[in-house]
Amino acid sequence: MTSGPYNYSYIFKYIIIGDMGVGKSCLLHQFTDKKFMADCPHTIGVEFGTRIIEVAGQKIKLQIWDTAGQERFRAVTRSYYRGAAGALMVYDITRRSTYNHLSSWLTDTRNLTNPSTVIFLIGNKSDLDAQRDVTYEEAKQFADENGLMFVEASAKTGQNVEEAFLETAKKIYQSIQDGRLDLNAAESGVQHKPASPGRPLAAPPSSRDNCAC
Amino acid sequence: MSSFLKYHENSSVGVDEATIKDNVTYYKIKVKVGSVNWHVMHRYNDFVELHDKLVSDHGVGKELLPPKKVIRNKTPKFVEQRREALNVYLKEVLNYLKLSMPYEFAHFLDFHKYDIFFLLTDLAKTLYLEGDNLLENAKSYKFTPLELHAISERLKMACPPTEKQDQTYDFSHVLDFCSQLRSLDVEGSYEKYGTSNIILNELQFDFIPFKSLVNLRILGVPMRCIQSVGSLRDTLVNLSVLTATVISLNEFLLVDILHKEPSSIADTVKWKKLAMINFGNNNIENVDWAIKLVPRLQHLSLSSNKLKELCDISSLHELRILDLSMNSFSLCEKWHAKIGNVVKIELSQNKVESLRGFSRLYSLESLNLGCNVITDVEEVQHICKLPCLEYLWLTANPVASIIDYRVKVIEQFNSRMSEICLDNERASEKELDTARVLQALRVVKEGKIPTFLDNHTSHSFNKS
Repeated sequence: MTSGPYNYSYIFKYIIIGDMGVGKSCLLHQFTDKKFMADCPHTIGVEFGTRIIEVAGQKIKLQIWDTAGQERFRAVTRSYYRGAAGALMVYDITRRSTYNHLSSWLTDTRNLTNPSTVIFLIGNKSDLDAQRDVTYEEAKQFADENGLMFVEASAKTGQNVEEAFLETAKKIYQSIQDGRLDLNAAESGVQHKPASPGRPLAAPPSSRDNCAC
Repeated sequence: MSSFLKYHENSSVGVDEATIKDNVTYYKIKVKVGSVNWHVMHRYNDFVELHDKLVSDHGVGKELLPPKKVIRNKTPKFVEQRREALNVYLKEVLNYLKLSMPYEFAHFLDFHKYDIFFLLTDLAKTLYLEGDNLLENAKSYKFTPLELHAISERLKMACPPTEKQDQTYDFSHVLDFCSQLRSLDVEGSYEKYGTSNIILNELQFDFIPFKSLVNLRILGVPMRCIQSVGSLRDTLVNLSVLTATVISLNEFLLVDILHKEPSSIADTVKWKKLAMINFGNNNIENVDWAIKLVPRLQHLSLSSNKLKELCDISSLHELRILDLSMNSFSLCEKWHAKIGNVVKIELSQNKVESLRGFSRLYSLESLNLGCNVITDVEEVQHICKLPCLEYLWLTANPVASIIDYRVKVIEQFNSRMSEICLDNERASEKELDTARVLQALRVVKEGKIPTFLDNHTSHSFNKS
């Protein structure tokens, strides 16, 4: 295979959720473009981004759905949970209300994804420590109680942003290795890269199975 | 275009008529979804094939389909009976499967050609399998306005639960491809699309999913179809908007900006990387101020428009090539004050009478004035001192038909006459000899000293 952007073995599907204005789109932008978008417009419906990362020597393409936080888009965003391998749940450490809503986001996530979906809690805007409204300890405890992974990150400085996306991928990859996550299940949110480039489009139904093995 | 998910309550099918082609009877199925309709032709055997799948996978009653008949199945009476039976059959099946709309049934009715959701599932599969390949060989990819419209609309919709659980058909593959694509072609049309009543140039779309687009070519799509340029302002380098009845550049450059007033335009709407603009074959009458939103512009092509005069575009410091062929320029006054360091100007097929306006374009290397109305050979006096000019076209002007035209033009360039390439041809030795004689005569006539010396100094000064 050639090297470069088209060489990867898996596709992982992520979803980013959380209240309006917590910085979901900025986190995505920081992760895909390594830039901070100062005045990021409100997301309408959904946004999308990709990046290829490496976990345990395997190249993995992340397809990330960034959802609108506004309540009126809830019906739209709910429909994107299905088949996500990773869910990044974001709150704003300077606004307690966004933290208080986490349990409702978590309920949605648990109901609409599958049991193997990795849920990662991100306390965003960690650069604004002076205006902090939610302590690290409190959020950490919430995460532990609910079995979530957790970091505080900053889309502005980039602190911990890589880590959050990468740790999630590592956990998903581990689930694949352990066999807890079935690659062929439609809702797993994990896919193999199409086997060989240039495979005829009109593949017979039997070869529609996208597993390369 | 059709959106069955939205309008399934307001949709219908019917078998209207039967036609015989090459001794095979085809039934014309009319599909209606909301205000969109189209038709699709199928023979009885196609119905049988579909029916088998629907019976085995989707619980459609086996006895529903009118039975086969082997002999005498072409009599008009029988065909009419069968048409009516198939009409009833399709209506019943649609009614029964309205909510789940299985893939096979949707395909049978050509939903994958006209419906947002089904078109995108097929596109997703294509791009999942071929996308990386297409991106790798870096050719430009063509999306129809129908596909772009579908993508834009789909992003505003909730994604529906479907029986197609296969991730190969997931919409994310489409967006994944779009976000990496570098060269895009869009071609519009005012014709009805396929057998439907959809007109491509009435569909609206945006460029939001295209995050890395470098080259964009729009052909025959009116600007009112474009709702947003997304992040193109940060990435686009080459832009062509051809045959799109554009009247003014800002129709595209500010397409998503509501108040197109110079005073209210922020810096953020600048096209940061755009270097080549081609708006050939439109109805542009003026190069307006919006051009200043493209500070890195190097190549501006406005061939085949309705331009008469240029506005001040000297703020475009990097502009090198200006193609204004097939317009209505006549005077070209003081162009040195309007355009900066342009190297190449194409003005063929205009109405230019005089070369006076070009006399101080000191960076000019190439000037094409073919097919204009220059009559006096002395007009060349205005440009004969341009230090870098090397390529000049005056062919198909009245001046080109006078006796010894070439020699008379070349002669005026004095010491540089051997460097000039007139109408694609350098002066031959013979022409140069004649030119020198003419020059001597001119010296005598005008009583001037031969100008080699000062010409030489000014020449080297300008070159350095």
